[in-house]
Amino acid sequence: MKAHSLINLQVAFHDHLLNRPSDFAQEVVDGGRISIEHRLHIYHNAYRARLVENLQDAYEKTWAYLGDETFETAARAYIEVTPPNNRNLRWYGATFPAWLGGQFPDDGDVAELAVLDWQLRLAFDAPDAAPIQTDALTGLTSENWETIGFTLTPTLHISQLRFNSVAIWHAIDQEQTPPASETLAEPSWLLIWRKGWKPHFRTINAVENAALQQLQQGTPFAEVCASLSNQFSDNEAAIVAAESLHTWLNDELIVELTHVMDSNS
Amino acid sequence: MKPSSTSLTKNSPGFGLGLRPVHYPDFLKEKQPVEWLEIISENYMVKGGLPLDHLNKIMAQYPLAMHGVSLSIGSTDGLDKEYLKELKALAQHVQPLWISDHLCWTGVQGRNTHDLLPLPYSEEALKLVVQHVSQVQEMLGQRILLENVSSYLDYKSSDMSEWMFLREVATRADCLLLLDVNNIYVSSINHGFSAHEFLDHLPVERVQQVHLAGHSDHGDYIVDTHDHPVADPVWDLYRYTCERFGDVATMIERDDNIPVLGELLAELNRARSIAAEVLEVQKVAA
Repeated sequence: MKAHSLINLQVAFHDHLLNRPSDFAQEVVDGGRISIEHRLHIYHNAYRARLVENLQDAYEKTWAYLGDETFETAARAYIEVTPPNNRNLRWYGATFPAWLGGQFPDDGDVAELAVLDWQLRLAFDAPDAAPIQTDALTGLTSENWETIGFTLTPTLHISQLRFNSVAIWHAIDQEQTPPASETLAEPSWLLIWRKGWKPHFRTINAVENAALQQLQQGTPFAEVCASLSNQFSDNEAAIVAAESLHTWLNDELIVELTHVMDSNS
Repeated sequence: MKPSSTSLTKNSPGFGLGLRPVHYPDFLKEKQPVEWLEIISENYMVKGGLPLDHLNKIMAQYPLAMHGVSLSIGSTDGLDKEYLKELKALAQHVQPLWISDHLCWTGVQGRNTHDLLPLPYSEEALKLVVQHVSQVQEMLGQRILLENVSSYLDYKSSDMSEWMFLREVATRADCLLLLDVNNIYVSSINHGFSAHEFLDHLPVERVQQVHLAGHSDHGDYIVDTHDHPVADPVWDLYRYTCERFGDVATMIERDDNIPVLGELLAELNRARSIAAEVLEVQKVAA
Protein backbone atom coordinates (compact mmCIF):
# COMPACT_ATOMS: atom_id res chain seq x y z
CA MET A 1 0.00 0.00 0.00
CA LYS A 2 1.23 3.49 -0.79
CA ALA A 3 2.23 5.37 2.33
CA HIS A 4 -0.04 8.21 3.36
CA SER A 5 1.10 11.79 2.95
CA LEU A 6 1.76 13.45 6.31
CA ILE A 7 -1.62 15.17 6.38
CA ASN A 8 -3.48 11.97 5.58
CA LEU A 9 -1.45 10.10 8.20
CA GLN A 10 -2.33 12.68 10.85
CA VAL A 11 -6.00 12.68 9.87
CA ALA A 12 -6.04 8.84 9.95
CA PHE A 13 -4.40 8.80 13.41
CA HIS A 14 -6.83 11.42 14.65
CA ASP A 15 -9.81 9.51 13.19
CA HIS A 16 -8.60 6.43 15.04
CA LEU A 17 -8.47 8.37 18.32
CA LEU A 18 -11.99 9.66 17.71
CA ASN A 19 -13.44 6.21 16.85
CA ARG A 20 -14.09 7.29 13.26
CA PRO A 21 -13.51 4.86 10.36
CA SER A 22 -9.74 4.84 9.80
CA ASP A 23 -7.13 2.70 8.10
CA PHE A 24 -4.45 4.03 10.45
CA ALA A 25 -3.41 0.55 11.68
CA GLN A 26 -2.03 -0.17 8.19
CA GLU A 27 0.45 2.67 8.65
CA VAL A 28 2.00 1.22 11.79
CA VAL A 29 5.02 -1.07 11.80
CA ASP A 30 4.28 -4.59 13.06
CA GLY A 31 6.78 -6.18 15.40
CA GLY A 32 8.26 -5.87 18.84
CA ARG A 33 6.84 -7.07 22.08
CA ILE A 34 3.31 -5.68 21.70
CA SER A 35 0.79 -5.87 18.85
CA ILE A 36 -0.24 -3.00 16.59
CA GLU A 37 -3.65 -3.13 18.20
CA HIS A 38 -2.11 -2.68 21.64
CA ARG A 39 0.09 0.20 20.43
CA LEU A 40 -2.97 1.97 19.03
CA HIS A 41 -4.90 1.28 22.22
CA ILE A 42 -2.26 3.07 24.33
CA TYR A 43 -2.94 6.32 22.43
CA HIS A 44 -6.71 5.73 22.27
CA ASN A 45 -6.81 5.25 26.01
CA ALA A 46 -4.43 8.12 26.87
CA TYR A 47 -6.53 10.59 24.86
CA ARG A 48 -9.65 9.82 26.90
CA ALA A 49 -7.89 9.42 30.25
CA ARG A 50 -6.30 12.87 29.95
CA LEU A 51 -9.60 14.56 29.09
CA VAL A 52 -11.51 12.72 31.85
CA GLU A 53 -8.87 13.83 34.34
CA ASN A 54 -9.17 17.40 33.09
CA LEU A 55 -12.97 17.34 33.53
CA GLN A 56 -12.59 15.87 37.03
CA ASP A 57 -10.24 18.70 37.89
CA ALA A 58 -12.49 21.42 36.41
CA TYR A 59 -15.74 19.97 37.80
CA GLU A 60 -14.60 18.82 41.22
CA LYS A 61 -17.90 19.31 43.07
CA THR A 62 -19.99 17.93 40.21
CA TRP A 63 -17.72 14.87 40.22
CA ALA A 64 -18.20 14.40 43.97
CA TYR A 65 -21.99 14.88 43.59
CA LEU A 66 -22.44 12.37 40.78
CA GLY A 67 -19.91 9.89 42.16
CA ASP A 68 -16.94 8.36 40.33
CA GLU A 69 -18.84 5.98 38.09
CA THR A 70 -21.66 8.26 36.92
CA PHE A 71 -19.28 11.18 36.43
CA GLU A 72 -16.81 9.15 34.41
CA THR A 73 -19.58 7.67 32.24
CA ALA A 74 -20.90 11.20 31.58
CA ALA A 75 -17.39 12.58 30.98
CA ARG A 76 -16.54 9.82 28.50
CA ALA A 77 -19.82 10.32 26.63
CA TYR A 78 -19.15 14.07 26.48
CA ILE A 79 -15.61 13.50 25.20
CA GLU A 80 -16.94 11.33 22.35
CA VAL A 81 -19.12 14.15 21.06
CA THR A 82 -16.82 17.05 22.00
CA PRO A 83 -13.31 16.77 20.57
CA PRO A 84 -11.08 19.54 21.99
CA ASN A 85 -10.55 22.47 19.65
CA ASN A 86 -8.46 24.81 21.79
CA ARG A 87 -4.67 24.69 22.09
CA ASN A 88 -4.87 25.13 25.85
CA LEU A 89 -6.39 22.21 27.80
CA ARG A 90 -7.47 24.82 30.36
CA TRP A 91 -10.49 25.65 28.20
CA TYR A 92 -11.67 22.10 27.56
CA GLY A 93 -15.08 21.39 29.05
CA ALA A 94 -16.63 24.87 28.75
CA THR A 95 -19.78 23.31 27.27
CA PHE A 96 -19.96 20.46 29.79
CA PRO A 97 -22.59 22.14 32.04
CA ALA A 98 -25.01 22.68 29.13
CA TRP A 99 -24.36 19.13 27.93
CA LEU A 100 -25.05 17.76 31.42
CA GLY A 101 -28.34 19.70 31.36
CA GLY A 102 -29.35 17.65 28.32
CA GLN A 103 -28.18 14.37 29.85
CA PHE A 104 -29.93 14.88 33.18
CA PRO A 105 -33.15 16.70 32.12
CA ASP A 106 -34.93 15.78 35.36
CA ASP A 107 -31.98 16.78 37.56
CA GLY A 108 -31.33 20.42 36.73
CA ASP A 109 -29.24 20.75 39.88
CA VAL A 110 -26.42 18.80 38.19
CA ALA A 111 -25.94 21.35 35.40
CA GLU A 112 -26.26 24.22 37.88
CA LEU A 113 -23.58 22.74 40.10
CA ALA A 114 -21.36 22.35 37.02
CA VAL A 115 -21.89 26.03 36.13
CA LEU A 116 -20.78 26.89 39.66
CA ASP A 117 -17.62 24.76 39.30
CA TRP A 118 -16.72 26.25 35.92
CA GLN A 119 -17.44 29.88 36.81
CA LEU A 120 -15.42 29.64 40.03
CA ARG A 121 -12.53 28.39 37.93
CA LEU A 122 -12.96 31.27 35.46
CA ALA A 123 -13.05 33.79 38.30
CA PHE A 124 -9.82 32.33 39.71
CA ASP A 125 -7.66 33.59 36.83
CA ALA A 126 -9.88 36.28 35.30
CA PRO A 127 -8.29 39.72 34.70
CA ASP A 128 -7.07 41.68 37.72
CA ALA A 129 -8.76 44.97 38.64
CA ALA A 130 -8.17 46.81 41.91
CA PRO A 131 -11.41 47.50 43.83
CA ILE A 132 -12.25 51.04 44.84
CA GLN A 133 -12.30 51.86 48.56
CA THR A 134 -15.15 53.52 50.44
CA ASP A 135 -13.18 56.75 50.78
CA ALA A 136 -13.31 57.15 46.99
CA LEU A 137 -16.97 58.09 47.50
CA THR A 138 -16.59 60.39 50.48
CA GLY A 139 -15.73 63.55 48.58
CA LEU A 140 -18.54 63.24 46.05
CA THR A 141 -21.01 66.10 45.79
CA SER A 142 -24.75 65.57 45.42
CA GLU A 143 -24.30 66.67 41.80
CA ASN A 144 -21.72 63.92 41.32
CA TRP A 145 -24.15 61.37 42.74
CA GLU A 146 -26.65 62.25 40.03
CA THR A 147 -24.30 61.23 37.25
CA ILE A 148 -21.98 58.67 38.73
CA GLY A 149 -21.83 55.03 37.62
CA PHE A 150 -19.79 52.03 38.69
CA THR A 151 -17.66 49.63 36.70
CA LEU A 152 -18.00 46.16 38.17
CA THR A 153 -15.13 43.69 38.48
CA PRO A 154 -14.23 41.77 35.28
CA THR A 155 -14.37 38.56 37.33
CA LEU A 156 -18.14 38.94 37.83
CA HIS A 157 -20.59 36.32 36.60
CA ILE A 158 -24.35 36.22 37.26
CA SER A 159 -26.63 33.34 36.31
CA GLN A 160 -30.12 32.31 37.34
CA LEU A 161 -30.63 29.59 39.93
CA ARG A 162 -33.58 27.24 39.82
CA PHE A 163 -32.37 24.66 42.34
CA ASN A 164 -30.69 24.47 45.74
CA SER A 165 -27.33 23.79 44.09
CA VAL A 166 -25.57 26.31 46.34
CA ALA A 167 -26.61 24.30 49.43
CA ILE A 168 -25.47 21.13 47.63
CA TRP A 169 -22.09 22.76 46.86
CA HIS A 170 -21.57 23.77 50.50
CA ALA A 171 -22.47 20.28 51.78
CA ILE A 172 -19.98 18.65 49.38
CA ASP A 173 -17.36 21.22 50.32
CA GLN A 174 -17.77 20.30 53.98
CA GLU A 175 -17.78 16.58 53.12
CA GLN A 176 -21.35 16.19 54.33
CA THR A 177 -24.26 14.41 52.68
CA PRO A 178 -25.77 16.87 50.21
CA PRO A 179 -29.44 17.80 50.69
CA ALA A 180 -32.07 16.41 48.30
CA SER A 181 -32.46 18.46 45.16
CA GLU A 182 -35.21 21.06 45.46
CA THR A 183 -36.64 23.71 43.20
CA LEU A 184 -36.23 27.16 44.77
CA ALA A 185 -39.48 28.82 45.89
CA GLU A 186 -38.21 32.34 45.12
CA PRO A 187 -36.36 33.39 41.96
CA SER A 188 -32.65 33.58 42.81
CA TRP A 189 -29.43 34.38 41.05
CA LEU A 190 -25.89 33.24 41.58
CA LEU A 191 -23.22 35.91 41.86
CA ILE A 192 -19.63 34.71 41.33
CA TRP A 193 -16.55 36.91 41.50
CA ARG A 194 -13.03 37.05 42.89
CA LYS A 195 -12.27 38.91 46.11
CA GLY A 196 -8.53 39.28 46.58
CA TRP A 197 -7.14 36.11 45.01
CA LYS A 198 -10.03 33.90 46.08
CA PRO A 199 -13.18 33.16 44.06
CA HIS A 200 -16.39 33.87 45.99
CA PHE A 201 -20.08 33.31 45.38
CA ARG A 202 -23.39 34.13 46.99
CA THR A 203 -27.05 33.98 46.15
CA ILE A 204 -28.75 37.26 45.27
CA ASN A 205 -32.43 38.18 44.99
CA ALA A 206 -34.30 39.74 42.07
CA VAL A 207 -33.77 43.29 43.39
CA GLU A 208 -29.98 43.01 43.68
CA ASN A 209 -29.76 41.13 40.39
CA ALA A 210 -31.67 43.90 38.58
CA ALA A 211 -29.47 46.59 40.15
CA LEU A 212 -26.23 44.81 39.24
CA GLN A 213 -27.47 44.14 35.69
CA GLN A 214 -28.25 47.85 35.33
CA LEU A 215 -24.82 48.86 36.59
CA GLN A 216 -23.17 46.36 34.23
CA GLN A 217 -24.99 48.01 31.35
CA GLY A 218 -23.57 51.40 32.37
CA THR A 219 -26.72 52.78 33.99
CA PRO A 220 -25.95 55.66 36.42
CA PHE A 221 -26.37 54.81 40.10
CA ALA A 222 -29.06 57.51 40.45
CA GLU A 223 -31.16 55.69 37.87
CA VAL A 224 -30.66 52.39 39.68
CA CYS A 225 -31.95 54.14 42.80
CA ALA A 226 -34.92 55.48 40.84
CA SER A 227 -35.75 51.92 39.77
CA LEU A 228 -35.69 50.90 43.43
CA SER A 229 -38.16 53.68 44.22
CA ASN A 230 -40.60 52.04 41.82
CA GLN A 231 -40.53 48.89 43.98
CA PHE A 232 -40.19 50.37 47.48
CA SER A 233 -41.20 53.46 49.38
CA ASP A 234 -38.64 56.27 49.07
CA ASN A 235 -37.40 55.55 52.55
CA GLU A 236 -37.01 51.82 51.94
CA ALA A 237 -35.44 52.41 48.53
CA ALA A 238 -32.81 54.68 50.09
CA ILE A 239 -32.00 52.03 52.70
CA VAL A 240 -31.77 49.23 50.08
CA ALA A 241 -29.53 51.40 47.86
CA ALA A 242 -27.22 52.36 50.73
CA GLU A 243 -26.98 48.80 52.04
CA SER A 244 -26.37 47.38 48.57
CA LEU A 245 -23.61 49.88 47.87
CA HIS A 246 -22.00 49.08 51.21
CA THR A 247 -22.10 45.34 50.41
CA TRP A 248 -20.68 45.81 46.91
CA LEU A 249 -17.79 47.87 48.26
CA ASN A 250 -17.07 45.29 50.96
CA ASP A 251 -17.26 42.50 48.40
CA GLU A 252 -14.79 44.37 46.17
CA LEU A 253 -17.27 44.28 43.29
CA ILE A 254 -16.71 47.91 42.20
CA VAL A 255 -13.44 48.65 40.43
CA GLU A 256 -14.03 52.09 38.94
CA LEU A 257 -16.20 55.19 39.26
CA THR A 258 -17.54 56.46 35.99
CA HIS A 259 -19.06 59.89 35.61
CA VAL A 260 -22.09 59.14 33.54
CA MET A 261 -23.46 62.31 31.98
CA ASP A 262 -26.97 63.29 33.04
CA SER A 263 -29.25 62.99 30.03
CA ASN A 264 -30.63 66.51 30.77
CA SER A 265 -27.25 68.21 30.80
CA MET B 1 32.49 16.80 26.35
CA LYS B 2 30.96 20.03 25.14
CA PRO B 3 33.42 22.01 23.02
CA SER B 4 32.79 25.49 24.39
CA SER B 5 34.23 27.31 21.40
CA THR B 6 31.64 25.86 18.99
CA SER B 7 28.72 25.45 21.39
CA LEU B 8 25.52 27.24 20.47
CA THR B 9 24.04 26.89 23.91
CA LYS B 10 24.10 29.12 26.97
CA ASN B 11 26.17 28.09 29.98
CA SER B 12 24.29 25.69 32.22
CA PRO B 13 22.50 27.44 35.10
CA GLY B 14 22.77 24.14 37.05
CA PHE B 15 20.00 21.93 38.42
CA GLY B 16 16.31 22.71 38.54
CA LEU B 17 12.78 21.41 38.98
CA GLY B 18 9.50 21.75 37.12
CA LEU B 19 7.45 24.29 39.09
CA ARG B 20 4.12 22.76 40.15
CA PRO B 21 1.33 24.68 41.99
CA VAL B 22 1.44 22.25 44.93
CA HIS B 23 4.97 23.50 45.69
CA TYR B 24 4.18 27.25 45.44
CA PRO B 25 4.15 27.62 49.26
CA ASP B 26 7.65 26.06 49.53
CA PHE B 27 9.13 28.38 46.91
CA LEU B 28 7.35 31.45 48.30
CA LYS B 29 8.31 30.70 51.91
CA GLU B 30 12.07 30.48 51.50
CA LYS B 31 14.79 30.10 48.91
CA GLN B 32 15.01 26.46 47.87
CA PRO B 33 18.23 24.75 46.77
CA VAL B 34 17.59 24.83 43.03
CA GLU B 35 19.39 27.05 40.55
CA TRP B 36 16.42 27.47 38.24
CA LEU B 37 12.82 26.39 37.61
CA GLU B 38 10.91 25.32 34.55
CA ILE B 39 7.32 26.55 34.17
CA ILE B 40 4.62 25.08 31.95
CA SER B 41 3.94 28.06 29.67
CA GLU B 42 0.22 27.32 29.23
CA ASN B 43 -0.38 27.51 33.00
CA TYR B 44 0.40 31.22 32.88
CA MET B 45 -1.39 32.10 29.65
CA VAL B 46 -4.24 33.51 31.73
CA LYS B 47 -5.56 37.03 32.24
CA GLY B 48 -4.82 37.47 35.95
CA GLY B 49 -5.33 36.06 39.43
CA LEU B 50 -3.15 34.03 41.73
CA PRO B 51 -1.17 32.05 39.10
CA LEU B 52 0.35 35.24 37.67
CA ASP B 53 0.93 36.70 41.14
CA HIS B 54 2.84 33.55 42.14
CA LEU B 55 4.74 33.63 38.87
CA ASN B 56 5.81 37.24 39.47
CA LYS B 57 7.05 36.46 42.98
CA ILE B 58 8.88 33.30 41.94
CA MET B 59 10.51 34.85 38.87
CA ALA B 60 11.96 37.54 41.11
CA GLN B 61 13.93 34.80 42.90
CA TYR B 62 14.73 32.13 40.31
CA PRO B 63 15.72 32.09 36.66
CA LEU B 64 12.88 30.44 34.73
CA ALA B 65 12.76 28.33 31.59
CA MET B 66 9.47 28.21 29.68
CA HIS B 67 8.26 24.78 28.59
CA GLY B 68 5.18 24.49 26.39
CA VAL B 69 2.95 21.59 25.40
CA SER B 70 0.79 23.16 22.70
CA LEU B 71 3.08 24.42 19.93
CA SER B 72 2.30 21.36 17.79
CA ILE B 73 5.31 22.11 15.63
CA GLY B 74 4.68 19.09 13.37
CA SER B 75 1.00 19.59 12.63
CA THR B 76 0.01 19.91 8.98
CA ASP B 77 -2.47 22.56 10.18
CA GLY B 78 0.42 24.98 10.44
CA LEU B 79 1.24 27.18 13.40
CA ASP B 80 -1.41 28.78 15.58
CA LYS B 81 -0.65 32.51 15.36
CA GLU B 82 -2.79 33.40 18.37
CA TYR B 83 -1.01 30.83 20.53
CA LEU B 84 2.36 32.17 19.37
CA LYS B 85 1.33 35.72 20.23
CA GLU B 86 0.40 34.61 23.74
CA LEU B 87 3.66 32.69 24.04
CA LYS B 88 5.65 35.72 22.95
CA ALA B 89 3.81 37.98 25.39
CA LEU B 90 4.55 35.57 28.24
CA ALA B 91 8.20 35.37 27.18
CA GLN B 92 8.46 39.16 27.16
CA HIS B 93 7.14 39.19 30.70
CA VAL B 94 9.18 36.26 32.06
CA GLN B 95 12.43 36.88 30.13
CA PRO B 96 13.13 33.13 30.35
CA LEU B 97 16.46 31.34 30.16
CA TRP B 98 14.99 29.70 27.05
CA ILE B 99 11.73 28.48 25.53
CA SER B 100 11.04 24.83 24.74
CA ASP B 101 8.32 22.57 23.39
CA HIS B 102 8.08 19.08 21.90
CA LEU B 103 9.02 17.58 18.57
CA CYS B 104 5.55 16.22 17.89
CA TRP B 105 2.08 17.13 16.69
CA THR B 106 -0.93 17.49 18.97
CA GLY B 107 -3.82 17.85 16.56
CA VAL B 108 -5.04 18.30 13.01
CA GLN B 109 -7.97 19.90 11.17
CA GLY B 110 -8.54 22.41 13.95
CA ARG B 111 -8.87 19.75 16.65
CA ASN B 112 -6.48 19.09 19.50
CA THR B 113 -5.78 15.74 21.15
CA HIS B 114 -3.72 17.25 24.00
CA ASP B 115 -1.33 14.36 23.49
CA LEU B 116 2.25 14.62 22.23
CA LEU B 117 1.90 12.44 19.14
CA PRO B 118 4.99 11.19 17.29
CA LEU B 119 5.86 12.28 13.78
CA PRO B 120 6.99 9.91 11.06
CA TYR B 121 10.74 10.32 10.60
CA SER B 122 10.41 11.25 6.95
CA GLU B 123 11.77 13.94 4.67
CA GLU B 124 8.25 15.38 4.34
CA ALA B 125 7.84 15.75 8.12
CA LEU B 126 11.38 17.09 8.41
CA LYS B 127 10.75 19.87 5.87
CA LEU B 128 7.51 20.86 7.59
CA VAL B 129 9.07 20.99 11.06
CA VAL B 130 12.12 22.94 9.84
CA GLN B 131 9.82 25.49 8.19
CA HIS B 132 7.72 25.83 11.34
CA VAL B 133 10.74 26.11 13.66
CA SER B 134 12.15 28.89 11.49
CA GLN B 135 8.84 30.78 11.70
CA VAL B 136 8.65 30.34 15.48
CA GLN B 137 12.27 31.42 16.01
CA GLU B 138 11.78 34.46 13.82
CA MET B 139 8.68 35.47 15.76
CA LEU B 140 10.23 34.87 19.20
CA GLY B 141 13.60 36.32 18.18
CA GLN B 142 15.54 33.42 19.68
CA ARG B 143 16.43 29.77 19.16
CA ILE B 144 13.92 27.40 20.70
CA LEU B 145 14.55 23.98 22.24
CA LEU B 146 12.74 20.91 20.95
CA GLU B 147 12.26 17.87 23.15
CA ASN B 148 12.15 14.24 22.02
CA VAL B 149 8.81 12.65 22.99
CA SER B 150 8.19 9.09 24.13
CA SER B 151 6.34 6.96 21.60
CA TYR B 152 4.49 3.67 21.43
CA LEU B 153 4.39 3.06 17.69
CA ASP B 154 6.55 3.33 14.56
CA TYR B 155 5.25 4.48 11.19
CA LYS B 156 5.92 2.58 7.98
CA SER B 157 6.51 5.97 6.34
CA SER B 158 9.56 6.69 8.52
CA ASP B 159 12.73 6.44 6.48
CA MET B 160 15.28 7.43 9.12
CA SER B 161 15.89 6.80 12.82
CA GLU B 162 14.48 9.09 15.49
CA TRP B 163 17.97 10.35 16.39
CA MET B 164 18.74 11.18 12.76
CA PHE B 165 15.45 13.03 12.51
CA LEU B 166 16.18 14.95 15.72
CA ARG B 167 19.69 15.80 14.54
CA GLU B 168 18.47 16.91 11.12
CA VAL B 169 15.72 19.10 12.59
CA ALA B 170 18.18 20.79 14.97
CA THR B 171 20.82 21.34 12.32
CA ARG B 172 18.62 22.42 9.43
CA ALA B 173 16.33 24.63 11.54
CA ASP B 174 19.23 25.90 13.67
CA CYS B 175 17.41 25.17 16.90
CA LEU B 176 18.50 23.59 20.19
CA LEU B 177 17.58 20.32 21.88
CA LEU B 178 16.00 19.38 25.17
CA LEU B 179 16.90 15.75 25.77
CA ASP B 180 14.35 13.85 27.80
CA VAL B 181 16.49 10.96 29.00
CA ASN B 182 13.44 9.10 30.35
CA ASN B 183 11.69 9.40 26.97
CA ILE B 184 14.76 8.04 25.22
CA TYR B 185 14.77 5.07 27.60
CA VAL B 186 10.98 4.52 27.29
CA SER B 187 11.11 4.58 23.49
CA SER B 188 14.22 2.39 23.38
CA ILE B 189 12.30 -0.33 25.25
CA ASN B 190 9.07 0.17 23.30
CA HIS B 191 10.83 0.07 19.92
CA GLY B 192 13.90 -2.03 20.71
CA PHE B 193 16.67 0.42 19.83
CA SER B 194 19.89 1.30 21.63
CA ALA B 195 19.54 4.36 23.85
CA HIS B 196 23.31 4.85 23.71
CA GLU B 197 23.25 4.86 19.92
CA PHE B 198 20.48 7.48 20.10
CA LEU B 199 22.62 9.75 22.29
CA ASP B 200 25.81 9.11 20.29
CA HIS B 201 24.26 10.62 17.17
CA LEU B 202 23.01 13.88 18.63
CA PRO B 203 24.94 17.12 18.09
CA VAL B 204 26.67 17.98 21.38
CA GLU B 205 26.75 21.69 20.62
CA ARG B 206 22.95 21.91 20.41
CA VAL B 207 21.92 20.18 23.65
CA GLN B 208 20.83 22.89 26.08
CA GLN B 209 18.77 20.98 28.64
CA VAL B 210 18.01 17.54 30.05
CA HIS B 211 14.74 16.27 31.49
CA LEU B 212 14.59 13.41 33.97
CA ALA B 213 11.29 11.76 34.93
CA GLY B 214 9.68 8.56 36.10
CA HIS B 215 7.66 6.04 34.09
CA SER B 216 5.30 3.08 34.52
CA ASP B 217 6.70 -0.30 33.55
CA HIS B 218 4.02 -2.61 32.13
CA GLY B 219 6.41 -5.45 31.44
CA ASP B 220 6.09 -5.61 27.66
CA TYR B 221 6.19 -1.85 27.30
CA ILE B 222 6.78 1.31 29.31
CA VAL B 223 4.57 4.39 29.54
CA ASP B 224 5.98 7.83 30.19
CA THR B 225 3.73 8.79 33.12
CA HIS B 226 5.84 11.21 35.19
CA ASP B 227 4.25 9.77 38.32
CA HIS B 228 7.17 7.82 39.81
CA PRO B 229 10.71 8.61 40.91
CA VAL B 230 13.35 8.41 38.19
CA ALA B 231 14.09 4.70 37.53
CA ASP B 232 17.56 3.16 37.87
CA PRO B 233 18.07 2.45 34.14
CA VAL B 234 17.26 6.13 33.49
CA TRP B 235 19.89 7.19 36.05
CA ASP B 236 22.39 4.97 34.22
CA LEU B 237 21.44 6.62 30.95
CA TYR B 238 21.76 10.04 32.59
CA ARG B 239 25.34 9.16 33.55
CA TYR B 240 26.04 8.30 29.91
CA THR B 241 24.34 11.57 28.87
CA CYS B 242 26.65 13.54 31.17
CA GLU B 243 29.66 11.70 29.77
CA ARG B 244 28.69 12.68 26.24
CA PHE B 245 27.21 16.16 26.69
CA GLY B 246 29.09 17.45 29.73
CA ASP B 247 27.66 20.14 31.98
CA VAL B 248 24.04 20.41 30.80
CA ALA B 249 21.18 22.08 32.68
CA THR B 250 19.22 19.23 34.23
CA MET B 251 15.81 19.09 35.87
CA ILE B 252 13.24 16.62 37.14
CA GLU B 253 9.68 16.62 35.80
CA ARG B 254 6.94 15.27 38.04
CA ASP B 255 3.32 15.67 36.96
CA ASP B 256 1.36 13.10 38.95
CA ASN B 257 1.62 11.61 42.45
CA ILE B 258 3.65 14.72 43.18
CA PRO B 259 5.60 14.21 46.42
CA VAL B 260 6.71 16.80 48.98
CA LEU B 261 9.39 19.10 47.62
CA GLY B 262 12.07 17.48 49.80
CA GLU B 263 11.74 14.19 47.92
CA LEU B 264 12.27 15.89 44.57
CA LEU B 265 15.23 17.85 45.94
CA ALA B 266 16.76 14.54 47.12
CA GLU B 267 16.27 13.09 43.64
CA LEU B 268 17.83 16.19 42.17
CA ASN B 269 20.83 15.70 44.44
CA ARG B 270 21.32 12.28 42.88
CA ALA B 271 21.49 14.01 39.48
CA ARG B 272 23.97 16.52 40.90
CA SER B 273 26.17 13.70 42.24
CA ILE B 274 26.16 11.78 38.96
CA ALA B 275 26.99 14.88 36.92
CA ALA B 276 29.75 15.88 39.39
CA GLU B 277 31.31 12.39 39.32
CA VAL B 278 31.36 12.34 35.53
CA LEU B 279 32.85 15.83 35.28
CA GLU B 280 35.48 14.95 37.88
CA VAL B 281 36.52 11.82 35.97
CA GLN B 282 36.70 13.84 32.75
CA LYS B 283 38.77 16.52 34.46
CA VAL B 284 41.26 13.96 35.77
CA ALA B 285 41.44 12.26 32.36
CA ALA B 286 42.11 15.59 30.66
